[in-house]
Amino acid sequence: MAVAVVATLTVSCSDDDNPVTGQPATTDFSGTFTTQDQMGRPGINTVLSGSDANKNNFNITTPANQIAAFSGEFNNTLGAYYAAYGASFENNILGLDQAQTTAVLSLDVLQVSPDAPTSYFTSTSSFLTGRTLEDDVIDVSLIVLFGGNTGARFDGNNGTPNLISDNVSQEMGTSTSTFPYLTAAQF
Amino acid sequence: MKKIALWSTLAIAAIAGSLIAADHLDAPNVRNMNTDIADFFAFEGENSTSTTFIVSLPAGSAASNFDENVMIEINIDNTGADVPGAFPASVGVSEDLVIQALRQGDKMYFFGPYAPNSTTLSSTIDTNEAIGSVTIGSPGELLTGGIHAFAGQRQDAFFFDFQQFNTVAGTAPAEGFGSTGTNAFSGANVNAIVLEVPNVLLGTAPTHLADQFRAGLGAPVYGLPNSYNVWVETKRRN
Repeated sequence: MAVAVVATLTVSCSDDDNPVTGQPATTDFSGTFTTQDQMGRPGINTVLSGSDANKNNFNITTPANQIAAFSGEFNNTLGAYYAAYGASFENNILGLDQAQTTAVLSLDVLQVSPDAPTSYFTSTSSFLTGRTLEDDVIDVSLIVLFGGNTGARFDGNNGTPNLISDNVSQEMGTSTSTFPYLTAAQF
Repeated sequence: MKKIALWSTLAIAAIAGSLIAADHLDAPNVRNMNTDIADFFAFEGENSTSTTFIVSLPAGSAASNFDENVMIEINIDNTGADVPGAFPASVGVSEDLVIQALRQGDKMYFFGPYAPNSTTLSSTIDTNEAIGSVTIGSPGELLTGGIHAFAGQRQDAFFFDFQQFNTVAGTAPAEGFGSTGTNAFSGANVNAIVLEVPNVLLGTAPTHLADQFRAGLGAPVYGLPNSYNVWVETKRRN
């Protein structure tokens, strides 16, 4: 009898997922896992990697190697955006020239401060202390790339194109101030 | 020629994907794969002595879920540049700590933060570093070390007029983005993990990388607060 009971338990343990709980008979954390995608700051690869091959490679280049491998490519891409408008980069609100800007952005890691309120950008003395769900990171990125030293170059006035805001704000009700901060999915 | 090549690339991107979030569909090799990271956030949430991390992946339907063979790894650099002042020649940003997450069945299992035995693109999970699990879609659990964890489907909070971006990048219209926009992510959903981690588990934050960069240029520093350098990877089991 004892043998039969053991055999029964063994069989049930090797069954597929329990249909009631969805719990697998076993968990498996073994093996080696290899990088497929990575991200630090929003939009960097999408906006500044020029070719599909570069976009793929950027996702599997460890941050320590990103400046050496991609700052030149990013610089070319940013230069091409300006060339399309017959303009050239001028030092931005952070006091960085084009090569410095693309060097900083090619190191795709996000800074987050444990001891200060979080803001992707509040002012030229308060920025990059993290990224909240509400931060308008696209506008900040556009201002750094196209805003010049006032942040307002190419603002759509005086015959300039608007290159510093996509004119969208966060969808109402997609985030909250309490854990887990994102609201329930709606399909 | 360069301009034409750029236009072509972006035109193809516009056709290939209607939704590119902060990182959605950012490269061909991950397009429509369940390793594609949608977004990454790190901020001070409800608790000022903790740092909150949110990682999301696109959720096309209510039936979508995290892949049981795709590990989500949050990397934390808490030492900054190895040679202050030499940035960017010697950056030194490295994964001093990792927090790993892998779904098995109806639960998301978490590990860390701990110093990984490898800082390359290949990783293993040290099960001695397990801190607990949460049921997918449940309100969340308090794990070992006081880490508050959640995993499940949520709305996509990102906002971007991606179509107009493609137009600007592709054809350089005189008005640029113009004066109105449309959020391409309205109504989108994600599979998200949320981790609120006590700062004491993350070590002491180094000098802000932007100030290390400024010092390397010999320029006045910005005076930014000490900050961790963080990023997220998805890693597929070989």
